[in-house]
Amino acid sequence: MSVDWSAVYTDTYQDLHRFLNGKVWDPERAHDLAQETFVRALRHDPDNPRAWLFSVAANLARDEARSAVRRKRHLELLKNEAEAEEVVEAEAPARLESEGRAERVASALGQMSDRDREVLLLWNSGNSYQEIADQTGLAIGAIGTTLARARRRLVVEYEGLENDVARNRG
Amino acid sequence: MSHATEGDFHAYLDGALAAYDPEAAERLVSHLGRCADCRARLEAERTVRDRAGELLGVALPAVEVPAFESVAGAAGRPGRGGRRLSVERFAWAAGILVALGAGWMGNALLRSEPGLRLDTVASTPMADDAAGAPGEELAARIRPETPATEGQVAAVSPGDVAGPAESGADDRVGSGAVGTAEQDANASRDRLSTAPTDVVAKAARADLADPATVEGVESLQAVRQAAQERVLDAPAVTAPARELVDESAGRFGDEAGWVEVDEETATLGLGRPPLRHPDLPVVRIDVSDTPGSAHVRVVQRLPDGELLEVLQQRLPVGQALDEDLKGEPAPAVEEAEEPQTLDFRARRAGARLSEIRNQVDDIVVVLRARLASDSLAVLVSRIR
Repeated sequence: MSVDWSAVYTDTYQDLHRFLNGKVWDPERAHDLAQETFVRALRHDPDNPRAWLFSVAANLARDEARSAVRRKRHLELLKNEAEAEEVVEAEAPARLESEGRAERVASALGQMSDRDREVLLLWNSGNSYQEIADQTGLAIGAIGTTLARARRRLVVEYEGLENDVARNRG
Repeated sequence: MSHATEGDFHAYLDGALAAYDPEAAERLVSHLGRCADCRARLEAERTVRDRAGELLGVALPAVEVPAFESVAGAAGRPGRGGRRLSVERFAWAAGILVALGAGWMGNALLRSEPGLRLDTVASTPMADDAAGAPGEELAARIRPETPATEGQVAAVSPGDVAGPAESGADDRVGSGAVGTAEQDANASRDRLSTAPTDVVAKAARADLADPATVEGVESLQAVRQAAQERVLDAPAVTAPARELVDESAGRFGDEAGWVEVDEETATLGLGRPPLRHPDLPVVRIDVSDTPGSAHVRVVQRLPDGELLEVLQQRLPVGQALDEDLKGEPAPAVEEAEEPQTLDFRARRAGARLSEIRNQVDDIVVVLRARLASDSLAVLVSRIR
């Protein structure tokens, strides 16, 4: 089977980036990982590109998360030094608000189980129930239940964080 | 039908229920027509679904798609077009050609050497080739007799084998750094190999070592199968390692056998770079050849030359060590003191294998060696 990788790339890149960004919460890093995923795909030439791409992307993001933990530990060691020289950037309020929402969404996603978050991000990245089932090993009949639980958790956690922010402002 | 579940509602709202179970979708629609309670619940779930989608849309906006050519260039491919030709398809043919050439040269050499008789060396693959076996027969002979696994297994791994997860245990891909550890491992493997290293086998391995030969290998399972097929008859380790493996039979991670792989392939199976003792050279890295298994084994050499097995497997999410390893609780390795020297007396006295278990992050680790248990406890505390 011949794969038109140019078409696959065009059709899938945004979905893959959204999926990766939901895992690493860094658009630039998500971009790098998406590109790395496609480079590997082009070398490997799998017959089922979309499933392969999301599977590899998930694994790359997982490795990235581990690296991020290590980096964070390192940064914490340097924190005191950095604080002495820190320059507070004057940010536009709208941008701060947007970033604040994204952070709250990220935080809310972080409250979920790995499996629920994976399913929600896969759905949000345009994957069908069948594709999600194939990717996660869940029965297709369980995807709806998982999504229901994940969506509710996202909304509840997010609203809770919003309320906290409102209280702090008040 | 009875009242619908939240899962039914979300599958229905996502348009998926009708896709994978049209009859269930029809029953749900019919039920909703009769059940005001479920209609209200459906609307509540719709609100949740839409709100979740809105939040994710804000937090994870769409981005511009970079030019495909940049990715294609990085992958060494033209910007558009289909598959590359697979070097693997020609690897054996190349090996055969080299074998025929070497055989022809060897034949000529042997015929010109009065002190040698052909029948005295006929048991070696080189001599078989030299005797003028037809090409197809040669190919059949070369394949099982290709000795060590390093070339062939490496041929289906470097850089490209980040295949999809499988084996049911959340296999993960990693681009684990290899560095000096792998160099040490390669050097050790070279030393360990007891198989014949004739010109033909070397030539075949050299051909297969091209990274391009990963074409067509779709997953870790394929890697395992490919490697397993090629090493069935290959004595890949020296006697001490074999003894260790034989004595380990039936223990954790030894359901069937092992296939030597490179670090990246093991990373694929384990979902992270394999754990090891950072100060010991790596002799080899294996993955279990049992389908569905995600066991990885790192064999390292202790200072006195004996081998240490570091067996590892990812725990299922949420599962702790004690559930996975029934009846053999993890030792209190945190309390182990750092010794000045490890105790090899037990091994010298002919001690049997000892093993000790621990958990590092979400990986169950079993250390196995002919060592006193307190020495193993010290070693396990250093595994990372």
